[in-house]
This record gives sequence, structure tokens and C-alpha cells, in this order.
Amino acid sequence: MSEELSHDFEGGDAGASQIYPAQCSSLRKNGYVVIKGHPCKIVEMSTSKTGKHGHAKVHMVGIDLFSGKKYEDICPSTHNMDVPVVKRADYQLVDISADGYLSLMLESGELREDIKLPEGDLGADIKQRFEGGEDMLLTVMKAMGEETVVAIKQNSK
Amino acid sequence: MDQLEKAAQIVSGDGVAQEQRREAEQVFLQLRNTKNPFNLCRQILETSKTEYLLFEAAILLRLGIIREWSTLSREDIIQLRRYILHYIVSNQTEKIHCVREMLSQVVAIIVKRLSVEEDPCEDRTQFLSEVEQLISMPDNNMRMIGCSIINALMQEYAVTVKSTDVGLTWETHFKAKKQFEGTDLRRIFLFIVSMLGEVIKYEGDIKINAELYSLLYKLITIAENTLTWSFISLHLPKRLMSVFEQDQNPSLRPSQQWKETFLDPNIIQLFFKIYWRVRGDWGINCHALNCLIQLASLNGTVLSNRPVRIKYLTQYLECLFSFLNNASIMDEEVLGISNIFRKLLLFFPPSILSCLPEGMFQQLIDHLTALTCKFAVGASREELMDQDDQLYMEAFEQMLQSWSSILAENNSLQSEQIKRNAIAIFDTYLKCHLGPPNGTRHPVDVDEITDAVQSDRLGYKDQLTLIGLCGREAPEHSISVLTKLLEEQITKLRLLLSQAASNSMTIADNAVMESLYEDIHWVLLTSGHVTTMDNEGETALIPSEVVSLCIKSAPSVDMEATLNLLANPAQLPGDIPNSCNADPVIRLMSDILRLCETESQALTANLGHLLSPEVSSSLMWFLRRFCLTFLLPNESYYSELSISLTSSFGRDSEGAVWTLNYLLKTVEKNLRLRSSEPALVEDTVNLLVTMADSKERGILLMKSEGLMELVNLQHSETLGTLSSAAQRGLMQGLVMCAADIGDAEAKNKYWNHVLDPVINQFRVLVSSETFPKQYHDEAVKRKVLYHIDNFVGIVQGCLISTAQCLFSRVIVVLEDIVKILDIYHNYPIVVESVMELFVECGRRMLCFLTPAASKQLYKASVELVSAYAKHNLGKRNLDPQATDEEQFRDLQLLIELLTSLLSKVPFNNDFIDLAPNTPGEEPTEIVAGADVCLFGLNIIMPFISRDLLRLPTLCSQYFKMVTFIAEIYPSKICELNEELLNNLLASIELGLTTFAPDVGILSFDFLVVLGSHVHRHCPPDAPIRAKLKPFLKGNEEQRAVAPETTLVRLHPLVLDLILCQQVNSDLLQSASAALYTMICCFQAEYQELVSSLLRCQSDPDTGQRLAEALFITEERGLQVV
Repeated sequence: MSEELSHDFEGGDAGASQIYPAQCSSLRKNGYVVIKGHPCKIVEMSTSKTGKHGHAKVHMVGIDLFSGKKYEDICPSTHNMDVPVVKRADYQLVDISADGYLSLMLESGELREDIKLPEGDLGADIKQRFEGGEDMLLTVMKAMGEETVVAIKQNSK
Repeated sequence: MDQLEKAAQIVSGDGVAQEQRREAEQVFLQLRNTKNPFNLCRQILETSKTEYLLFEAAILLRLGIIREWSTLSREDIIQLRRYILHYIVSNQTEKIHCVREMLSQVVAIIVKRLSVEEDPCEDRTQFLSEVEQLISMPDNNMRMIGCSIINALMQEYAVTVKSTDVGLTWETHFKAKKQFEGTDLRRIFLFIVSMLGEVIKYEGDIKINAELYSLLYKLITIAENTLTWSFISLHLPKRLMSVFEQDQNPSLRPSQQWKETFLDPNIIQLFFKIYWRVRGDWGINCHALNCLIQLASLNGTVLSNRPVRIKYLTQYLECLFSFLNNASIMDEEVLGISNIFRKLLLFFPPSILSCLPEGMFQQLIDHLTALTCKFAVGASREELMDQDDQLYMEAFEQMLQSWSSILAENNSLQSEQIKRNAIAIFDTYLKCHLGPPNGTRHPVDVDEITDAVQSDRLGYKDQLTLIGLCGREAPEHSISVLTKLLEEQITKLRLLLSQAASNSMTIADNAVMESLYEDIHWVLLTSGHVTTMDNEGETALIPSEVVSLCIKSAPSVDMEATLNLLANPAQLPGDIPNSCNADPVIRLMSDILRLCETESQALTANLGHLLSPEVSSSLMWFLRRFCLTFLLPNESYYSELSISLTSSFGRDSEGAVWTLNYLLKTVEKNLRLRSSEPALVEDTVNLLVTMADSKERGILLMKSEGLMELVNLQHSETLGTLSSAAQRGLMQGLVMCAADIGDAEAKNKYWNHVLDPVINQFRVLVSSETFPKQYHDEAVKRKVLYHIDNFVGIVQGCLISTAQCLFSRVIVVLEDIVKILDIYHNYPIVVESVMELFVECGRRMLCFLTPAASKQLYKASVELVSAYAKHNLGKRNLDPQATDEEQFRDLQLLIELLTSLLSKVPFNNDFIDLAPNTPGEEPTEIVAGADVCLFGLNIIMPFISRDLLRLPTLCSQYFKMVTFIAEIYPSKICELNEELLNNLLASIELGLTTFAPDVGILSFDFLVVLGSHVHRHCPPDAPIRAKLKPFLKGNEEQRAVAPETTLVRLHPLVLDLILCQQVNSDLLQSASAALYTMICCFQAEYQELVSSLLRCQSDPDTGQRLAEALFITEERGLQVV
């Protein structure tokens, strides 16, 4: 990843919107949508209509990107819905602090220490591998002001 | 004995501890393995009073007889049979049903096995006499026992394919069945018929007389079983035989010996009489009705010539008519009756019907028509009630199918009568689906309808096809009815819309509109099926009835008025001078355009929210069929075409140019203004693709202004709200237009116009300096996705003639696209789109490409796979939604890509390779194809885990791919590095038993292809041999030490699988092929395995038998080698 890019991802989008509107019918399964204020990944999408000659309504089931909770919504297909701007980037793991914060390094060499070690199984895995001396890249996903680690990979470099 | 009694009480008792129950069950499982159990059984049967124990004894008897048949003498066996029969008869009162049935079955098995050993079967004949005596006795219990035994006996003979468990080969079963059905089955039938004749003489209400009732029930079911018997008529291979035997309702097709039996008029009369007596009775009536249905299907050598067939049919129809004339039909018999007609018309085609006595045919048609209409009305009533069981609907469809055979061959019949009847059915059907005043349909539901509900177009397809057939029987009637309806509806719709425009629409008007839309929808569906035919894969032709209608009306047709009508969709026909003299077919088509125009005007007036997407979808569907059939027909396919058709839609006609252009505008408007209706967009795109999918239409399209509007719309990027599928479809249609243009320069020019902007925009985007900074931006990401969708569309639009040319334009993009994957590796949605694009290239383009171009594609694919691997190897995804297959869609696409790349391998000329041949280049290409796949396999294998294979689609894709590779490059498989090979073989092992049957078959096939290769080409010390060996005999040590986490060797292998009967019978064939291959590869090991198996056998007799079986297999195997 280039230097500018990491910089951009890190903090350069202060002015950019965290959501944007999209016509319901243009959303796709596996895409993202905001349901009841939560940024969600769309895991199910179906259409229905009121009466045989009614207009399409889109029914979607989303899973909160961060909490994993399920949310549902139904919306006329002509209407707009908010779509969260979702960004992902890879960081090198430098350290894990005692209070559970990660030290992550951008390619520019800058450090960030504001992301927590994720809870549960995945957090334990990161910790274990880190303590085993493994050099790891963590993929961090960011949406609507929240950030979390979503994938780990051995650093091949 | 005591122990058994106790155990039986435990098993059948309630409230027993689990542990105890398990122990007791164990006792019985052991009991079933008892050697020479006959005396023990006798003892139990005579002394025990416990039902469960008695039943177990009967099972034990059955197992014993089958297992130890060869060691028993004939005398012993006959004595045993006598004993059992005697036992059943003398202990009948207190013995429970299931014990009796099981013992009857034992008797039947004995009789059958004895009959196999002697010919003619005197023993069976004598035995039958005894049973018949039982049934003739006044004691009802005796009669019941007799019937049970006959049923059991018939069961034993009926099935040959699935009855290997009695220890006979299939050939023996087959012979026995053939022998039985020619002799004793007929005897049984005649006897049962005579008994039925007696029972039916009883004057009172049979239902009240319980004994007689139960006898009648038994007799009818035996008769039914005989009439539904699947007679052996040919020597068929076993596999086909199983198809016949599994047929739920075979036709009655007995052998020559049965001729006299069925030609006896009393038989038909008797069965009608029986049905008449039991009609109201739920328990029996369906069996009796089934007998009638079977009799209606009589065919084969029994009815050897025409006069005999006519005589039989006459006898049958006389009875049927007299029944129909006297009965008012009950709900529960509609299906049976429709089935009778269906069978009759299937087995007695119009050529026979036409020879029926005077008046009889007419009566048949009248009954058929009356019942069809009656059932149609019943069906619409049913729909209103929302019932699950749609008796009338099914009956109606059966009646329509009966009609189809008459309509298909009506030239041998009196066509005027048939026409009248067809009109009656057509009108009734229309009436059932139209609202008042034209029809009787009930108000439309306003419930919530999900997309899981089947559309009318699909759900009613079969019916509509047949109604279309009826309509074409009298096109002058049906087309004018449909035209009149449609014109009325359009007038009404325009009025309602104009009221809406002036804000004077009331709430009541909404309901009127809803009902109007439903009417239009049905008129569209019906018109579509009357004027066009389903042409799956064939050239769509204008139905000859429609052509003749045009020709017939030609003398009175005013051509100017006709063309005026077509060219002025905004005006109603009444406003166009002399429109009543227009061609009737063109008039209907012009009304369809009138409907388009009405919608278009409503959209312009901002009234789109009042239109029905359902109607618009049906309209697009109609236009698609219209396009295929009527627009630019190839006149050489027709002996004659009317002037009206050729000047409206013919090649070189102005009408066709105008119509195509009009349709393009409709497409454009729908895509632009109604993108929020997914179903409508899909149908619209389908229409466009169909329009473009023809040389003639393509050439005209290229000249039309509408096409450029569409191209501009596409380039304008205002279609952002279109779904990805629609985006692709639109591009596909645009690309396809130019496919068959002969003029290369024009084609290039067009493509420059259509494709260059798309490709350039993308290249400019990704090569811009800002792109690496902005790729995260949602807008940029969306643009990238939009471009990829366009490229997929381009690839989907490629045809054999354009593949090479399109590929040369797309290849530059493919190279850039790999970079996209690299940059967006963290965004699954982009990754998947990229892979889809490559999959499409592999599927649709590769087989048409020159070797050099193929190589380019292979190269790009290798880069893609590498890029994927770079980011994903060793990655653990922690997405909270990692629950379903979607999560692994990328991997699945990768597998699909590799499979599609494999498809082009010039190997034994089996594969599809339609590319122009350049001599000398091929060898490199083979290497390229193979290398990409193996390279890919190397990448994929580390991802494949037990958990991953639990996902059904991925699993089956994976096994398809590896089996495919093994088939084409077995040598390459042998050369895989050890770790990969281990993983691959472990997955195959898992595939043998763990997943769905189709995966099992693929896994066995894998062993066959790889094994054959090893056997033929690999030296005895090749490492691959050691790897394959466990598949023959399993590997205990390895199994013990394998860690749980990897793909573990858990299962005993091929031989064990087969011996332990763990192989599903569907897989048996593949499994035996695999075993055979393994034996060929490892003969020494096999022999050792057999000896060690034999050593484990303590019983010398069993050992001997096993040895014989296994060595025979081996000898045969070696002979074939």
C-alpha cells in the first residue's frame, strides 16, 4: 500500500461523508446498507409487492458489521436508503498493550494505538500468534466512525 | 427362551431405562445372526405369547431361509413351508397382523425360490390351488389369510431390480418374473375376478357387512396390483428395467397370453359395476377407480390389430358413457376421471378414434369438452379458496393434455366439430380468468406477495400452451375475441389515466384499475400463446393457423388501413379510418403497441406510479415472443405468407424498421424510468437481447436511431440505479447487435462507438494519478463495479463469430483488472466481480479463441490467481457474518474459473474447441491450459478443508474440478508435490462417503481415472502407488495418527465400503468400477487382503463361500485386464 493511501485511510477523510444515499433497487446482496442506524452487510434480499399489480418493495436482512446483530428493513424500491462508506486497510501488528490496545503500523512508519484487540476467538488467536512471534498483517474495517479488525494474515514480507 | 421373553417385554414396554433397552435390542440383533434357527423359531412361535418376540421369530425365519437356502434340502424346505402355512391358518385368531404378514412373506419367498429351481412350476401351481381354496372358504379369516399370501407372492415377483437381498442374481429374478406373469399371475387375476363377481352379487349395502367389505377391499387391491403390474415386454438392460419398475403408474401392457382375458367384455363391465357400487366409499373407491384407469391404458401385443383395438375401445367407451350419463361427478373422483380420458387418448390415438362407430366419437368429444369446461370452472373456484390440494386444477390440466393429442392430429377427425369444442374450451378458460362483465373471476387479492410466489407466466405455462392450441384451432374466433377485449381494455385504461391526470380519480377507480390490469395481464398471456408457440431452441415460426387466417382474410383487407393502424399506436382503432378492414393479426399486434404507447404516455405524464409492473412485464414477455416469431421472418420457411405480414414485419419492409425502433424506445424508456422494478427490468433486458440475437434484426437495429439513443443512455451513466444483472444484460444486447454484420468496417465502427468509451473510461480511471489515493472512495468503487459489469456484459454478448474480435478489445482490460483485484483485495464485492468476469471469459469466449489468444487468457488467469493467492493465502477472515456459502464465493468462483479453463483441451477431440486452427501452435496451448489448472490447484488445495467442503455448492464444484483434472491430466496429478497430493487424496477419501451421492460418484470416478493411469503407465515403485494403495485396503496406522484438524483418513476404503454395504445403491456402479481399478493396480495386495479376510472367518462353510465369491471377482477382473 502506498504512503499517501495509508494516510488517506487513516485520517484524511474527515470531511467526507460516512454515508451516501442509493436507490433501493440498486443495492446488492453482500453489499452494505444502513438499517436502523447500523452499518450492515446485506445477507438477504428479496422483493415483494402489495397485490399482484403493486410496486416492488425491497426486503433486506443485514448483519451489523461490528456487533454481528441482525437487522431487517423493508423499503419501496424507488426510495433511497443510506449506504455506509466502508473502508478496509491492512496494518502491520507491532504490539499489544496490557490494556488490550493494538499498536499498528502504517507503511509510512506512523503508529496508531487506538484500536482494541477484538474480543472472543479472533482476539485470542491474534494474541496467541503474536506471542508466538508471528509477524502479522491485520485488516481493519472502518464504517460510520467505528473500526475493528476483521482479518489476519501472516506478513509475507 | 426366558431371556428372549424378558428382552421382548423390555423392548415393547414403556418407561424402560435407556441402558436396559439397548441391551435388550442387542439380544435381538444377535438373535438375527443365529445359525440354523429353524427349530428355535418353531419353539418361539409355538410357545411365546409376546407379540414382539413372535415378530422377531418371523424375521429370523426369513433371514435364515435366505442365508441358508443352499444348505437345506428340498424336502426340508417344503416341510417348513407347510408348517408355516399350517401355523398361520391354525393360529389365526390370536395372532397379530404384522406377524401374519411377515410369515406370509416367508412363505412367498420359499415359493419363489423353489419355482426358480423348477420349470414348469408344479409346486407353485399346487400351492396356489391351496391358497385359492382358502379364499373360497366361508370363514372370513381364512379368506384374509389367502389374500395376504397372494399379495406377498405378487410382491416377491413384482420387482427384479431392488430384490438382490434374497440371494439371487438379477437375471434369475428377471426370468422368474417373466415366467410368473405369463402363467400364474393370470390365473390369480381370473380367480380374483370371479371372486369379485360373486361379492358384487350381494344386494345389500356392502359397507354394513364388515366381513364382505374387508374381503372386497383385499380383492380389489389384488386386482389393482395386477392391473398396475409392470409387465416385462423386452429384454432391457438392468438400468432401464429399474426405470420401468419405479414408474408409479405404468400402462397396462400384458403379454400375448392375456389376450382373451382382456377382450372379454365382461371384465370391463365388471370393473365399472364395482366402481359404481363403491363410488361413495373413501376406503375403496380410489382402488376401484385405479383399475378403470389401468384398463383405459391397455396396449401392446394384446391389442394386436386395428379391429381388436376398436372393439376393445368401443366396449370401454360404452361403459364409460353410461357411467358419465348417470353420475353427477364428485370432487374426489375428478382426478381419476380426467386420468381415464388422458390414458384413453394417449393409447388410442385419433387414427383409431376416427374409426369408432357412428356417433361414438362425437359423444366422446362432447364428454371431453363438457368435463374440461367443468374442471376449468372448478379450478378457478379452487383458486379462490386457496386450497393446497388443487384437484380440479390438476384434472383440468389432464383434460387439456388429452385434448392436445386430438388437436395435434385433427386432420383425421371431423374438424368442424372439434373446432366448435375448442372454441367452447377457449371461451370458458378466458371467462374464468377475466373479471366481470366479460368473465367470472373474483376480485384480485391485495395481499403481500413475495418474489417466491411463482409467476402466472410460469405457473400456468402448460395450461396456456394448450389453451393457445385450442385458440389456434379457430384463430378467426380467438384472435378477434382477444383483439376486442384488448381494445376495450386500452380504452378503459386511457380513460382512467386521464382521470388521474386531472386528479379526478376516486378510490373506487383504484379497484377498477386493479381488476383491469389483471384482465389485461391475462389477455396478454393468452394472446401470446395463441399467436406464438414455445420454441425452446428451435427457430420460431409463425403458427400455420395464424398465417392461414391472414391469407384467408387477405381479399377483404385494406392494406393502407392496416399499416396506418400499426404506425399510429397513440390513436385508438376507432379513430383510424377503415380500421375494421385491417388484417386481424396485425390489428392485434398493433393493439399491443397501443398498450406500450399508453404506458409510455403515462410515464411522460408522471403517472408511472399508477402503472402495473406485472402488466408491463407480461407486455415485455409478449413482445419478446413477437420479436422471435413475427419480426423479419425468413420467408423461405413458409410455403406462403400473407402480404399483410410481409409488408408489416417482413424483411425490407418499412413496418419492421419502424416496429424495431419503437421497441427500442420502449426498452430505453423502461430502463431509464422504471429501473426500480427488478422483474420488469429483467424482462426488458431479455427483450433487448432477443431483438439483438438475429442477423437480420441486428442489421436493422444498427441502422435505427433508437439504438444510438440506447448507447448514449448506456454511456451517460445515468443508469446507476440498474441492478448489476440489468447492466450486464444491456451491454450484452448492445454488443450482440453487431454480431452478424458482414461489413467488417461497419462492425468495427459500431464497436468503436459502443465499446471504446466504456473501455477507455475504465483505463483512464485506473491509470489516473489520483486513483491510488481515491480507490477507497465509494464513488470510485461504484464506478469500478459499473465498469466490470459492462465488461461482463460484453463477454456475455460474444458469439462464435465475434469472440476473437471482442477478446482483442477486452484483453487490455483483463490485464488492468488483475491490478484492480490487487488493489481491492480487501473488498469482497469487487474481488467477486473480477472473478466473475474471468469465469465468463473462460466459459463463453475461450472455446472460440485462437491458440495465441487463449494463451493470453491463460496468462491473465495465472496472474489473477497469483494476485488472489498473494492476499489470501494464510489469511484468516474474522467477519462476523462468516456463516454461509457467500463467504467463500471467491473460492467457488476460482474453482469455476479453473474448470472453465479446462474445457478447452484438444484431447481425443472430446472437448469443445471451435477456434480457427493454426497449425504448429497447439502444443504450447496444451501446456498452457494444463499449467494454469495445476497452478490453480496448487493455490486452491491449501484452502480446502473439511469444514469448507460441507458447503454443498462449493463441495460439488470442487469435486467436479478435481475429477475433471484427473481425467485430462492424470500424469500431472501424479507429479504433484507430496503435501498437496496428500491433501487431494484425503479430500477424495472424504468425498467417497461424507457428502451427497453426486460427490460420491465423482470421487469414485476420480479413483477410476487416476487408477487406470497408474496401472497402465506407472512403474511398480512409483510413489503414487503407495499413495493410492490405502484406497484398496485402508491404512490403519495412518488412520490412528492423523490429527483431527486436517482432512482425516477416517473411513475404511473402497473394498470395505462395498463389503460392509455402506455404499448407497446409486453409487454401486461407480464404486465397483473403482474397486476393479484398484484390484488391477494392486493384484498382490488384493490377494493378500482376501486371504486375511478368509483367515478371519471361523466358519469353514462361510469361508468357502466368501472365497468363491471373492476369487471369482478377481478372476473375472484379471481376464478383462
